[in-house]
Amino acid sequence: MSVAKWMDEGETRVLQILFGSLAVDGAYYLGLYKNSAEPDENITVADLTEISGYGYARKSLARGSWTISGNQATYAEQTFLAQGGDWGNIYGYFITTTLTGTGGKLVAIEHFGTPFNIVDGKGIKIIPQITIS
Amino acid sequence: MSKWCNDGENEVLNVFLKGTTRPSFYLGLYTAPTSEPAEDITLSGLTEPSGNGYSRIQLLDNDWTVSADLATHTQKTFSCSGGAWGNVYGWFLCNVASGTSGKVYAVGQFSDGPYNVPDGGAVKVTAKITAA
Repeated sequence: MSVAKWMDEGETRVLQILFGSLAVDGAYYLGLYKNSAEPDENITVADLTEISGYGYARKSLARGSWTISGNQATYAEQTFLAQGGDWGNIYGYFITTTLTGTGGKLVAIEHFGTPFNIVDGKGIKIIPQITIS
Repeated sequence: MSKWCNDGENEVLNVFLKGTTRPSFYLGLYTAPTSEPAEDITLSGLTEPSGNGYSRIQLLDNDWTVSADLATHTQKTFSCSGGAWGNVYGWFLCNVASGTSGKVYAVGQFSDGPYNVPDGGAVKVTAKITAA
């Protein structure tokens, strides 16, 4: 199991919250993307091609529900199910600050080594993990 | 440039994702170790100047500036009076004003140090830390 990498917007947000210039976020949101190339750290949510339709929606990751050990944070497994049509190849997941849309901050992403082709009736299970160093 | 210590990395995740109350931050100086402390350093593993006007300085929220992945605090001055501190090798960021029961969040070894601080001398520190 690999871990997500921080994006530029996520790094800034960590420091802003830690040192008090920004209020804490109540939740973060987990989504899936279809960009085949691993995104650079400086991209935003708007640069991601997200799954659309067929039962897809971002998952809420509640603040306080992460398990933290040392420098690694892990969230309980989340399952996305395709219903009514195929999603096609999924190349990774992302964590953002908003439930929908492209106006939120892109906190972190994990790009899969190989894509998962999700067809109608099938799903993908994600265990979000992130470290800091 | 500084680096996060193990306790600091854990605290960042706890504040950001777990809901832990943000700690207070204090800046201190160390005279030992003479080489850059390891990431698992604790307060008891650092030797601070003793007496002669030395005490840790609290860092306030409004004095931090965050730009991209870098947080910078306004410059703080440690003034030595009544006797020499000797060689100061770096600074650290922790969560307690004194003692060794707190956590070390980050350390910064002076790249052009050590600074030999005589009576009447001072050390000026601009704490900077990145997230990655």
